[in-house]
Amino acid sequence: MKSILASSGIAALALAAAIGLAPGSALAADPGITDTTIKIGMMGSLTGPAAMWGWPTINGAKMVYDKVNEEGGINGRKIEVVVEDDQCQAPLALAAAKKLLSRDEVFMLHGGSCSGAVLPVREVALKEKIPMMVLVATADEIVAQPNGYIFRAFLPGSYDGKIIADFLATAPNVKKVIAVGNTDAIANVRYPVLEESLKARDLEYLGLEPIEVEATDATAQVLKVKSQNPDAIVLVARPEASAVFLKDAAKLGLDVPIVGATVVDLQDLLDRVGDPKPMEHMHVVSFYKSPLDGEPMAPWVDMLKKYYPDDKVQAAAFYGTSGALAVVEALKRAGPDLTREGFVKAMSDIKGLDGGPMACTLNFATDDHEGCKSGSVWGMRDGKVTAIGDSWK
Amino acid sequence: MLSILRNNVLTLFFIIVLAISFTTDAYSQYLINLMLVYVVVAQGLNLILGFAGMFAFAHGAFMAIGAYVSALLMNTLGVPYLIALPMAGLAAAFVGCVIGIPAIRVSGLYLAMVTIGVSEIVQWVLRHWKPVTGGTDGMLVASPTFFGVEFSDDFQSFYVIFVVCALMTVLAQFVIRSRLGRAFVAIREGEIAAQSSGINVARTKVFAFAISAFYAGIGGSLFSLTQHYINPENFNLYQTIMQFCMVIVGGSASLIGPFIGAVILTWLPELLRNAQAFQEIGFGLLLIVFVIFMPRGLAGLLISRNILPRERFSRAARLRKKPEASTSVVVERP
Repeated sequence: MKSILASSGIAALALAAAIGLAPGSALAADPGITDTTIKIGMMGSLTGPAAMWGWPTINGAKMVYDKVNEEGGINGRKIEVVVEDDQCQAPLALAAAKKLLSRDEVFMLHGGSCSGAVLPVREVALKEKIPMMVLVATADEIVAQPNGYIFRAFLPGSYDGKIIADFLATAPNVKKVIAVGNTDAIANVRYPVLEESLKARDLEYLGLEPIEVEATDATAQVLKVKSQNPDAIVLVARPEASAVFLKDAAKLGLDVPIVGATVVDLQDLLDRVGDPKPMEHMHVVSFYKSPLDGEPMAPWVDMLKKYYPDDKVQAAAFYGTSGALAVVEALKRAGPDLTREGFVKAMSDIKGLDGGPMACTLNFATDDHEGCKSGSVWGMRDGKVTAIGDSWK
Repeated sequence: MLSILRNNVLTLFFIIVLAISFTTDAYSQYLINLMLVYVVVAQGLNLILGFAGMFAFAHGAFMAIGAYVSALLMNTLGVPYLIALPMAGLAAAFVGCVIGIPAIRVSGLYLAMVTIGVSEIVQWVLRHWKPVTGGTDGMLVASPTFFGVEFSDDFQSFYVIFVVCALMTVLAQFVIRSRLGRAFVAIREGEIAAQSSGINVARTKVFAFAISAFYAGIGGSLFSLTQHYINPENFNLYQTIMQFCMVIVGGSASLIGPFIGAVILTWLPELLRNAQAFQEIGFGLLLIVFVIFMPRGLAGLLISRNILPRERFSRAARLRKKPEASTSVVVERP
C-alpha cells in the first residue's frame, strides 16, 4: 500500500505535467490528398454476426472507385481505399474510424454497416469536420440535422414506412394491418413512420408483434397474428427471422399479403426460404430499380463481375454503390484544389444525379443530406421476383 | 532493481501508460482509454468471480446502469461529472445488492442463470423505456467539464479515466486485504467452513455483488466518456463475455490478472485487424488454450515462474504452496 501511495505521488506529478504537455487532437488541414491520390477510409462489418453486410457492400462501392481509377482518376488523382473492420460494434467502429483518421490520414470516410455502431462515429466526423458517406446503415439519426458533413445516398430507415402504407392503401380489401418485426435499432426506427403513414391512409394499425432477431420458430407470432385477423402484415425483421416467419405462416395457413421493409431482399429471402410457396404473398420495399436480373441492373452486375469476379451477385452487393457514385461526382465538382470543405459544398450542390442501381435520383442540399428518398416495391409473380412499382398490381 | 520493479508492477503499468499518452495519436489514445475502462470493470468482476467464487453474469447490465445513470444525470440535470461518476457506481451497487439477495440461495450454474436473466431484464428496460433511455436509438453523452474546461477528446478524457482507474486499483487492493476480502476468499473456499468460522455468508455475498457492481457502474460511466454515445447494444451479453475472457485470460483471483486480460483483449483485436479470419478463430483458440492449459490465466503462469510477485490471496499462490496457504487465510468476521 505504501509503495502504491509513494508511486501515486510520482504519478500525480507526471499527471500535472501531462495536462500541460498533452498533444492537441486537432488534425492537420485536409490530409489524405496528394498530387496523385485521394485516400478514402472505408469501414464495415467484415467479420462477426453482421458480416453479410460487410465485404459485399464495400466491394459494391469500391468497384465504382476501381472504375474511376481505371479511367485515369479524378482531376489527376487516383482513389486509394483503406478498409477497416468494425464488426458492427460501437467500440470497434470508433477504433476503426480513429485509426483511419489518425494513422491512415484519410481524406474522408465511407462506411458503416450498422446504425448502432455508426452513431458514435457520427460524433467524431462532425467534431473533426470529416466528410462521411454512409455505406449501408439506415438509422435516420445518423444523417439528421444539424449535420454539416455526413451524407447518405440510399433510402433511409423510416422512409419505407410511407412506401409500404401507400402500397397497402391500393391493395384490395385491406383495412386492418399488423406489424411483425424485430425490436432492435434497425427495426425500431421504422415503426413510428409506418404507424403514422397507415393512419394517414385510413388503415387501422393493430400494433406490433415482436419477433427475435435470432428466432428459429415463429409459431407463437403466427398464431397471435391470426387471432387478430389482419388484412395485411408488415414484416420488419432481418432476413433470418423473416424466413422463419414466412415458413411458419405458410404452414399455419396465414394467407394475407405481407410487405417487408428494406432490411430484407426478396431474392435473398426466396433463397433462404427455398420454396416459392411461402413466398407467394410476400412483397418487399427495395432500394433498387429492378430485380438483379433486370435490364436496369445489368451495368452494375457487369461491373461487379468485372472488378470482383469472386463476389456473389446479391442484393447486398449494391447497397453502397450509389454512395460511391455521389462521392465521385462531388470529387469531380470540387475540382483540383480539393479540400474537405470544398468537397462538402460540392456534395451539397448535387441535384438530379442518377442513383445508379437505386430507384431514386440523388438530391442533396446544405440543410438536407438525405440524397435518396424513394424506393420501389417488388413482389412474387408466377414464382419470380418482379418489380411492381408503388401500387398494388 | 528488478525485484523493486517486480513488486511494483502495477505502479510501473500506470507510469508506462501515462508516458505513452504523451506521444501517442488519437487512435492509440482511444484504445488506452478503453483498456483502462476494461481494467476497472474486470477488477470488479474479478472480486466476485475470482475472489468470492461466485459465477455472476450481469456485469454488462451493471455497466449499462452506470453508463446510463451518469449520462442522464449530466444530460438532463446538468450534474457535474465528479458527482455523476460516483452516483453511477452507487446506482449499479444498489442493483447489485438487489441481485445479491437471490444469490444467497443459489450458486454455480443457477446463479449464472439468475444473473443472465437480470441482464436481459436490464436490456429490455433500456430498449423499451424510450422517453428516458432513448430506446434502441441510444443517447448522446455530454462531455465532462472540470474548472471550466470541457474534456471532450480522447487525450483529455484519458486523465479522468487514468485517475479513476488508479483509485479503483488502490480500492481493490484495500478490499482484497481487508477482512471483507478475506471473507470473500473464505466463502470461495467453502461456505460451510466460512460460516463455521463466524462469517455472515449471506451478508458477505451481498457485499460482493454490491462492490463488484460498483466497479462495473464506474466502468460504465467511464465507457460512456470514451464513446460519447451509448445504446443498449453496447452492454449486451457479448460485453459480459468479453469481461469474463479478460478475467480468465488475465488470471482470476489475482490483482494483476484483470490488467493483463484487459491489455490483451483490447489490443489483440486491433493488432489482428489485418488478419480477419484469424481474429474470429483466434479468440476461440485463446480461450480454449487458457481454460485447458492455463486455468490460472497468464497471471498464474507468471506468478508460478516468479516473474510476477506472489499475491496473498491469489489462486496461483494458494495452489503453489497449498499446505501453508490453506492455513494462512485468516478468516475474520466482516
